[in-house]
Amino acid sequence: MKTKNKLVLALALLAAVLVVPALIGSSYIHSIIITICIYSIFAISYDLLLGYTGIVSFGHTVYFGVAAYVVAFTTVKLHWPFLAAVGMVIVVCVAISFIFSLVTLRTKNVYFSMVTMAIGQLFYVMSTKLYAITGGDDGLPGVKSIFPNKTVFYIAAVLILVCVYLFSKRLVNSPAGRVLQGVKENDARIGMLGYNTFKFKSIVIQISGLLAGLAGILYVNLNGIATPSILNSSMTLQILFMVILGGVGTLHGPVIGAAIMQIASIVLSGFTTRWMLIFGIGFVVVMLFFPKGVAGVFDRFSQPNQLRKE
Amino acid sequence: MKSAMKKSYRYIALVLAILMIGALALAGCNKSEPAAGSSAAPAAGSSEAAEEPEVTGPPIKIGLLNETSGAYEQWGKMELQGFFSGLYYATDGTMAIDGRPLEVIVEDTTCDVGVGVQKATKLLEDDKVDILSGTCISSIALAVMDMAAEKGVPYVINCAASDDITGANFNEYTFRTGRNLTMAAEAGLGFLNEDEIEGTTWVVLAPDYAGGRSGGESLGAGVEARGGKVLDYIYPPMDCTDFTSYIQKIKSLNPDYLCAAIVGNNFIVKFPQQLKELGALDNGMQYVTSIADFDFLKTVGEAGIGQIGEALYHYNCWDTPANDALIQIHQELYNGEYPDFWAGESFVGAQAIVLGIQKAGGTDGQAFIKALEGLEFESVKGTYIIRAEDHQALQPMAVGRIISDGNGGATVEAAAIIPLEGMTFPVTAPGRA
Repeated sequence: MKTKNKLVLALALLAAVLVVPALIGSSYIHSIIITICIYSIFAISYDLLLGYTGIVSFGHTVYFGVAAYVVAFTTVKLHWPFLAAVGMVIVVCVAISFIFSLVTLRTKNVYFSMVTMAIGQLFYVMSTKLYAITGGDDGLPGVKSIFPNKTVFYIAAVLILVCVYLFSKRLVNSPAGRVLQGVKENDARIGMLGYNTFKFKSIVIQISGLLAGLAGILYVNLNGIATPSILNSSMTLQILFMVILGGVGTLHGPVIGAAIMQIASIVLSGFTTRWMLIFGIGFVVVMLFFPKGVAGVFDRFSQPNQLRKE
Repeated sequence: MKSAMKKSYRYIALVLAILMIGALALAGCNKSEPAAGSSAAPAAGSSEAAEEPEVTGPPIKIGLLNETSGAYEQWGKMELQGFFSGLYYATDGTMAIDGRPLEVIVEDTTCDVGVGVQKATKLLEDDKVDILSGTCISSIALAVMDMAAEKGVPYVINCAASDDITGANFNEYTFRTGRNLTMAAEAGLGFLNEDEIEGTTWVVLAPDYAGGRSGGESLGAGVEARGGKVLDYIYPPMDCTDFTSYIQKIKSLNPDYLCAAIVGNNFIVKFPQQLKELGALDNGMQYVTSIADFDFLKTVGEAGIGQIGEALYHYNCWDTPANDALIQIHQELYNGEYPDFWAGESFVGAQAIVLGIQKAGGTDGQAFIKALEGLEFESVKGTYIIRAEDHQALQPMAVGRIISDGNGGATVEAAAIIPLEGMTFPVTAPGRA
């Protein structure tokens, strides 16, 4: 497709997403789409690591969860204004992701994954045990949404998602983004070319940490509570599923994956209580036959014939 | 390029494969049990349609958040079945109040806070329910209670037990008919008179997590307040399977009572087994712990005989007309099954909702609140009073003892019933005391 056509299509899609549910006016549908937007932002942030830098982190939900807890703690317990809480989230997410990258980037491949998983679990355990700060298993309830109603929240969430998408697109197509993709293809060669690969990796971990934190801020606004379940490693895996299902390394893939997972879980759980099983089998099928995810299937058919063969 | 891609895929595939096998194994374990909500809801729903005598008004919509799938689906099933039994009982089988039929909308939380909030949004804003109820999970209840208050819809909680619901997080739209954790801890010691505790020695054991530690501490505080002495607090990790070293320590301390706040299979099954095997109970030490559901009794089996402690609900413990009705209705509606554990709590919640609507003469939120505040009614455990200050239902509590059922299994009998007067505790809701 030509760039101009693509732009028109994207704008039409955006207009449809914004207008149609605003007309329907069901808060439930709005909250589903808000949830999809939140997970999409989270998944895009993960795709920056997995799809563009080749970093397989199993502790990515730390930023998401910590951001939610920081907002809940500062606004509910310390009565800070919301913007101050957001400032705190930025500071905390950058700090944690910087330390995270210092500790984990010394290891490679499967060891890297194991270390990130351990750090992720550390935060999860802390959330259940530091009762005075986190409220333990009950979580920290009582967060007031900054959006007056679900419709406003819905429009804001869609626009934030679009901004995050455009930002990420710009990032991966920038010279720095090319270096990141180079790191993914061949870490050593990029180092030989004179780039400080550690620095690039550390920066992308911090950027994706911030984006995940943004998703966490929206999550706690939507649900009004931060609980240990959002810090559990199963949350990271859920995001990993979304990215792989949608298509790794595509940026629009994670959005498709997040939407499919949300909608499928709602539709399937209406039919049977064993919906997780159906979902799991579906996932295995996608992994086996469509390794590039749903986005990969779309792209294959939207490209001219001669390109397809390559 | 390809090798790097392949490598990362290989790690992911490995982890996913392990998870899949785990998920399949779990699914396999649960296969023998019927799907919780799907079987229960239509059964009650059809009775609702069949029993309607004459419809003279718009339906009364009740939203029920339920753990139909997920880790706590067994609990969800208990709550759902008890709830419908309660509605059936309180409306004399008509499933209608003053000619207005009851329409119960059940939504599955899948045990996830985010999904629970989403479903609550649907019930409150799209379905526009008149009354909201349900969920066994405290974090979901805590998140949803704020939403219900914002919409001015009364929320009656049956099962979720966190103290904060009718304490620190109190709002005027939320009621709880079930017992809270403080009441559970109080009842756990209630089988002894105060003078019987005075001068005795105790060891408190609980799994090492927030709930375990706070449960252990409140048990210990209860003992000390009554003049007992806690020799030690022991917190084995949640996933502990070998309790030998802890049991040796307990033996060397030789307390009169071993008091355990237990959660999880290891603590429920392995711990009492190992206590017996290592002879820790031979010199007269009494093991005190809470008694859970049928699955608990099945797994603990004969090793549990003699255990004593707070019993949230077991149908053997209560001799009241409402309990007889609960057993009878539950068996009628659900293929002869006895009501289990949370069913005894949600039955009361459903009854309170019906009584509240009848007393308020409709479903107006404020009128409903006025109707429930201070309401006194007879139900499963005898007399209940919904305290006006913090909307917590005060109620008698049972202390159960595990006995043999005569067929190699275990059942429960009431060791003591603590009357409602003995179950009062300070109001902790801010600004309401």
